[in-house]
Amino acid sequence: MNFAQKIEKEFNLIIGSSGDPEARSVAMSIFKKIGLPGKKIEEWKYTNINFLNDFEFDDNEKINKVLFSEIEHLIISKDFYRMVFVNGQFDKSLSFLDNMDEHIKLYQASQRTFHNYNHYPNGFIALNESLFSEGSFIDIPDNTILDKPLQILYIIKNSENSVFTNYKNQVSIGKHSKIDVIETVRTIGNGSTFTTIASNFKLGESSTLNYYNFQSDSSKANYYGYRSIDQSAKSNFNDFTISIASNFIRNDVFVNLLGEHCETSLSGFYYTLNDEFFDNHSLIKHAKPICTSNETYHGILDGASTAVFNGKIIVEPDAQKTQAYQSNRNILLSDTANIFTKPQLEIYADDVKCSHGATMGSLEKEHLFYLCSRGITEKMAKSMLLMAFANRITDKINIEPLRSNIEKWLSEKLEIE
Amino acid sequence: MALLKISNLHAEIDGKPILKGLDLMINKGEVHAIMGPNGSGKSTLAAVLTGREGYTVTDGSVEFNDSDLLALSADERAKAGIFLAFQYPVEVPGVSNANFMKAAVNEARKYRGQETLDAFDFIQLMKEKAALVEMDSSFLSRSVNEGFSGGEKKKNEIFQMAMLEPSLAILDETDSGLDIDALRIVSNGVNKLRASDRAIVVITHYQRLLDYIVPDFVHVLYKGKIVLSGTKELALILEEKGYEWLEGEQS
Ligand SMILES: Nc1ncnc2c1ncn2[C@@H]1O[C@H](COP(=O)(O)OP(=O)(O)OP(=O)(O)O)[C@@H](O)[C@H]1O
Ligand SMILES: [Mg+2]
Repeated sequence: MNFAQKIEKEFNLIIGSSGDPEARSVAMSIFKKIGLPGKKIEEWKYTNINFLNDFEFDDNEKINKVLFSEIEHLIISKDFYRMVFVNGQFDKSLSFLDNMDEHIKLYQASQRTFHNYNHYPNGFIALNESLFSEGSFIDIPDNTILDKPLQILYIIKNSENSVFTNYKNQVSIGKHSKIDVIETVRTIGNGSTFTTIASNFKLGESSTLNYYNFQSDSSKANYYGYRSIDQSAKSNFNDFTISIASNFIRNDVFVNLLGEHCETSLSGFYYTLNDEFFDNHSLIKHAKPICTSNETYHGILDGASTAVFNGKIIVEPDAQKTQAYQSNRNILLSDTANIFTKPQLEIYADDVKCSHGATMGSLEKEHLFYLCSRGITEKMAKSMLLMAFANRITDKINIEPLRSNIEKWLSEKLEIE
Repeated sequence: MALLKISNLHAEIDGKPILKGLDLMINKGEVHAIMGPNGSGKSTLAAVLTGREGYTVTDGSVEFNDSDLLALSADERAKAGIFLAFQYPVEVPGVSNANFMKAAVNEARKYRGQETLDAFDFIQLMKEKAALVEMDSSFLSRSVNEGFSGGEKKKNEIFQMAMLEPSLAILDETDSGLDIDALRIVSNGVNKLRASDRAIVVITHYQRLLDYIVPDFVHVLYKGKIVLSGTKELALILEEKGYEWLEGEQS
């Protein structure tokens, strides 16, 4: 069974059994009209989704039970709240919700009717809307500071066959409330996977969302992540996207600043190897005055890999006193690696401070020589400099066990003893 | 046995000859000063000795402890005991001074077959050496040279020298950018590092430094060669007469 047949089959299975059949049908008809995102669309010019052509699904592949011991190493801290999904379904026994229900309202997405999209930015989102099997619907009341981070683990377990899963989340955060969310997608098995996760966040006045997306999956894993964030006045959104292994990653982050005095920070680090493809697209829309956005992405590229950075900032006429900063820096370790970086600023207000910059190049020879001149081998000097470059992003991660976990992964990949 | 023996050294950058037959011999325990006009090749000599990329040695030889120095990579030269205090130390963002020195000291110890230092001993060592140049220990946790003032960068170079205990230290204009007090502090630090098994080469434009760090020998590097060598009095003559008169002396 190929990808198109799989879509057909999944749709027929899910349409009558879970969620809102009406919404699913509408989304499917839109998907049929717009199709998969492709090179014809400006935002997908560099994004090659041909990996889907090689997908081979087995009708009889059954969902394997995942044991706790198989996911234990992926748990950032056993103390944190944890929601675990396995091959599209919520797994209560692997999850740890403790007394989280006392703070927040939590529903399974498949049992809720969501607000529908006014508009589908691309075919993957329409596909996600028509096929999502599960997800979380989190409602955080006003004045609620979640005492511990919530880690959401999406596990895919397969044998040799392909697995295609879709999740949809909706999180609404009340006034003066705060939550930290860690997202991890991980494949256990040898087959190809494609996972789409569409998450919609609504941030109430003076609320805070810290979102950590730690992407370190198998070499046959493919991921499409969509995050849409609507911020009310004085709210704070901090996004970390750390991508260090996978075959294909595309992140779309859309931020709407809908109230005054909002703060947004998008921080990313990616390290691409072999023929990996990682793509970070973002759009920050400053619709109201006196908001600040800060976007910093650092990338290291090796092998014949490709990375894309596209950061669009729109400052609407109303959005006076906007401050918007963007920077994307890349270190290329091989001649065959490709970086496509594009800042896009559309500014329609006059009293604003905006800056953007993109750099690409190899490691600074001067820096390398300085370290080597003190007796450090070239290999070690390179690792130290690359780690320093990555740490510029990871240092800002406030959850200590997560930061040390990520730094451990990185130092192994960057070969530091 | 000479610690360093440079014979007929010729070196070029981008096909442009800079060192043109330089001879120099340095023994353990000695302090040598190298003076000479701007652009005469002093920093080039330091770069060639420490193995910086981009310099081609076209003729001559350099022996360090009786073995071919030029065959070694930059890090091997450092581990063999060569140290350069840079004229323009670079800023290395994101690498802390402490981590940098820890890696360097432990690499050198491994190279010499010594055990690596544990965290506690290492911090003690850093504090002790920082005190030598009156460097506040807050500098140790900062990124290497990042945001350091000119003088602080120079102090940091001497701090690193103290940490690494080289057998040959080359100080390239370590006095430039230092205020009067810092010059005294740094010079005192260097003097404390004078030792019978260590040679120091100070490259400078000013006699003033040599009042603090009194050299055993003074050399004039002019147009890529050592054209004149003498004792510390030579520096006074140069201070008075400049370098132009050397044009006539050379032949
Ligand atoms: N990358 C380069 N390409 C071409 N010429 C160079 C390069 N680097 C140095 N030079 C030249 O080599 C010559 C010697 O330079 P060097 O830095 O060794 O001089 P110096 O004696 O240290 O001078 P100063 O007293 O000003 O520090 C100079 O003429 C300089 O312009
Ligand atoms: Mg010089």
